[in-house]
Amino acid sequence: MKYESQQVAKPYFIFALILFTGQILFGLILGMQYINGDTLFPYIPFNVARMVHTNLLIVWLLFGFMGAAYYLVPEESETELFSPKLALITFWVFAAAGVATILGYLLVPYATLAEITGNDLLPTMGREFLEQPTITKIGIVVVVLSFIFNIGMTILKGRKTVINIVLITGLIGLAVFFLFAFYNPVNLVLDKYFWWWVVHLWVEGVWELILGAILAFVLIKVTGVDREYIEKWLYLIIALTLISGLIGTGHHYYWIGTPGYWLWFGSIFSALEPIPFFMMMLYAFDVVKRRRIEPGNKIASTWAVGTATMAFLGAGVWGFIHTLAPVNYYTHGSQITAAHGHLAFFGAYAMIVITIISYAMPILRGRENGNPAAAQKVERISFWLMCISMIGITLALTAAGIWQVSLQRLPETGAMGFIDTQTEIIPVYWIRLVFGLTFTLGVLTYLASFFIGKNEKSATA
Amino acid sequence: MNRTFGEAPPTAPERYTPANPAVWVFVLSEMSEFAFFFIAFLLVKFLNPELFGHGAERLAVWAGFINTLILITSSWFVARGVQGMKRNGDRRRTAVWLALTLGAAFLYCLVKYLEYRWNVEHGVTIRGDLFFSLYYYLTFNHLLHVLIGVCVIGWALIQTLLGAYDRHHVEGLEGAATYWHMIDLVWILLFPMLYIVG
Repeated sequence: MKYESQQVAKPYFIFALILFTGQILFGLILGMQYINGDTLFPYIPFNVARMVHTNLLIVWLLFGFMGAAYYLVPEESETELFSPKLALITFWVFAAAGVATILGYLLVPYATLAEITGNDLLPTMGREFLEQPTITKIGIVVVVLSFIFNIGMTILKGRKTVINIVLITGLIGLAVFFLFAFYNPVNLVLDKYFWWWVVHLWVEGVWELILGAILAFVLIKVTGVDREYIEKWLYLIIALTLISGLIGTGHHYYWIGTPGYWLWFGSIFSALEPIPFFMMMLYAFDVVKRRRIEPGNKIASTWAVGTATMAFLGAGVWGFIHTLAPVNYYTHGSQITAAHGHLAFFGAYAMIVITIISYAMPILRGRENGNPAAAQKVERISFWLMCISMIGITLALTAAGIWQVSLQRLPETGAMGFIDTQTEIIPVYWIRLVFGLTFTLGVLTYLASFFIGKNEKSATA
Repeated sequence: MNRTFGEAPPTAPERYTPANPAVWVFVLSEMSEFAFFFIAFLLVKFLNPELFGHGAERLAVWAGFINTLILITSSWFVARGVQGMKRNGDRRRTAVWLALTLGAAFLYCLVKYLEYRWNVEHGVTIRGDLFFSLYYYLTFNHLLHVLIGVCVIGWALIQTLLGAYDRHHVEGLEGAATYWHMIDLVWILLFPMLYIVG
């Protein structure tokens, strides 16, 4: 570790992993509820479990991104963090607000939560992924602004690298687009239109910049390849991301009341969205092949290449499958969407956070060359368990989606209703649940790898 | 090669994977996609045997057959292109082979156009029945892949002319050729499945 203040990343990473585990446990509950809707009713109904599952995902990824920024920005800028104290204060504020919100979801009915938190003063609740009470949303804004201030001031006083600039651009975009969470028009079309400015422009826009920056940082560190070479790739990737992703928002605007030209804009531009992901994969393999050093932390390099590959499959291939308007006409909001959502979020964002954790945590714990070999071996098992299980979940959900579309959407007469269709699909949901369990095993194995070889110092480089 | 008794055998050649591994991930995901379509086709066929019995008889087998020949020949062109670069670093010759590949691709598109026109004249339409819907979906999807392949080979041709490849740097060229072979392979499976067996 080069700078003392990088240590503030540690609580962020640890808390991110705790929330990740929580997310997966709620995923298991949901997996069971797809088979038997009354599981855990009335204590944790489906809508609450789903809200907790998706909200935990977003919050743990934000903790991960923040930890990543606090770790890599001082090193890139070659200076201590502007204010480590502020970073720790925002950590505790964010953690407390996050826990309170999740407890609010679980302990009181959603309507009561809206009432207690004064949602009628500035109504923002009730939209998918943005269910947080208004007061929590204001908290998120305050935390993110103080975080960007801290990171921005560090970059300003230190070295400006391409990685830093791409990262801060992504983070500012994240903050700006979140503001649309406060805009809640009465007109349902406008409501959906701007809701996607948060959801889509995050995951298919600015978050990809954050992903690109973190991946580039880790690749430089584990391969020793020239920064200039990696930066060229990064420029090309983010340019293509923005060219395809911004107008690609149109693939959410099909048949929701927006003008018909979105069918064309959405189809054409989002069909280009796999290209930057393919390039990211090309460059990850290429850079690892050109490596000049043999890193002690081999598993971090595996996670980095794995991220690029799984992101391509999840975001690129599974996104493309249902992005064209004529296909989406039948698949809109079916289990195909769920399949894509799972593999894309895991492959692109969960895995990049795990990548930086696997690279940085050993160093933060005083193991400059990575964890001992025994720990890396266990971590490698967790890598394969998680990746294979998530592909299993995705294939199961894809099969469920195809089945659902054929029963519920394709027939021009006598189509089955939603609930009847879901009942038909239950055998596939069993397969999904089994892969959910092996994924959980992967997460637990990953967590266990942190406790292996505690007394050994580091891998031999 | 004469080795005296007791001499150590030559070390095994280093394992060589052509092209960037990312290309293989892409090719494998494309092939899985087509495998899913094939499985779906066979399932629908299994459930509707009477519908599929006579479907193939109404298709333009000549067009499918000509396109099979065109694609196999194009794969030979692209392989010769890669070979030319790897053996002699001969840019001009590689460019000619790649241009021939592109020519074959355009010919494929022309035959496809004639086939679709012939279909309309003979009352084979996308809404005809389930077999024809699947036939159009699969063949149009394959056509889209050929068009992506045209962009990929076009890119490799430009790179060749710009001098980006030489005897020892052929990764991009190999990647383009690998993708092209995938298109060919899918067609070789698609042709008998649709046009012959039906």
